[in-house]
Amino acid sequence: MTPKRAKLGNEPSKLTKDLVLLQNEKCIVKAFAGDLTLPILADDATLGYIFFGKGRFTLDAIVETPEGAVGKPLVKDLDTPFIMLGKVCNIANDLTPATVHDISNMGCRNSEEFLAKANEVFSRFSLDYHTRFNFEEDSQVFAFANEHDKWDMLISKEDKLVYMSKDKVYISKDKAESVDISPAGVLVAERGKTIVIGKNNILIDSDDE
Amino acid sequence: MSEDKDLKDEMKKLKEELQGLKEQLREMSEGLEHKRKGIYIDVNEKLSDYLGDVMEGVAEGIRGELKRSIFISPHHGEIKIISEEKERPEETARTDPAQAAAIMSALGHEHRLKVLDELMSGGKYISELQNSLPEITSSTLSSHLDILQEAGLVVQERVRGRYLITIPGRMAYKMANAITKQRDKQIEQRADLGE
Repeated sequence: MTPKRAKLGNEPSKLTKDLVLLQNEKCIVKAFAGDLTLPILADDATLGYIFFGKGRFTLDAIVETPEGAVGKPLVKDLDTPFIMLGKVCNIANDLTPATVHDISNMGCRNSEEFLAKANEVFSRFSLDYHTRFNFEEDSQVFAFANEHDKWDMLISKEDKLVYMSKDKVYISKDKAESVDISPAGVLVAERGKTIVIGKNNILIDSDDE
Repeated sequence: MSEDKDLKDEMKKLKEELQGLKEQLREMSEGLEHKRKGIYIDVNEKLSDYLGDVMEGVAEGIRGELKRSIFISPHHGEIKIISEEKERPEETARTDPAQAAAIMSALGHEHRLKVLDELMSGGKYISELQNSLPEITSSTLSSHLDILQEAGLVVQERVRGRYLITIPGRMAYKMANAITKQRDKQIEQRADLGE
């Protein structure tokens, strides 16, 4: 797939209902009715969307080991912009053109101000990561603006999942392989074998007889 | 006339060549510009590099910890490696009695021990627990699960909703069983001795 230079569309739309943007066994990403969105375009194709408003991101960052489960669910209420790229679900039927009232609800006086704000956010994302996009068609990428002015990234492809934030990296593949890195330690689990590195100890465990 | 035509042809060729060179120059400067600004980053490549770095960090951490670790006690397919270089604070420091009491209190109910027993074989949905434990009403079961979660012995997935036993949960369940077995053994021994 040829890398593409992307830009934002210039007609803001509003979500007419709550939408599940991604759902698999490990995580759910939701956008809520009333969110404003702009498409991310390259040539004539829609590569994704940027959302302003509310959303919720849930990740079961739990690793099952032969000695018991480690980790806990991560639930984040999103009130900063977030971006969806790659294999995007079709949301066109759930959008309506945004009105001046909708835009003022987002703290902008008019459409131009909203577009300027959106482009500033998107430029920041582009500078942090890439201005040309080259995603495999079956992968889905989310970027959530965090409180450190950086991006928490979630990448999902078939049964593989990667989440990266300032204080957590969680990788899951095919239920049987997981990596969890956080201030509490490092956990690597692969098909019944587990290595846990805690603050004061290390545990290597295998369910092989 | 023929000289004029040759000249025009030559001029045309030169113009075409010049145009070609301009194109090449533009492409080269675009390439340089991209390299200089680091504009083009393939997300898949970036991710692979990132994961490579992460795994390298993990391997380094493991190597470092292994160097410090001496005692290996294998039993039932399990190897515990414990650092001998420094005394581990968790082993010497006293546990907060209030926290310990909260965990023991969570264990202190027959129904909750049955729930833990069910979860020892793997994660279960509440409907599966209800089927396995028909003697516990659904509201009571929910209440027991809340207590076990509060004590950190069980964790619930938010997406699928399954309940999973945690490492402390397994340890607590095994400890409860071990104490009970030891006590039964002692009772048997006393009976054998005719006490």
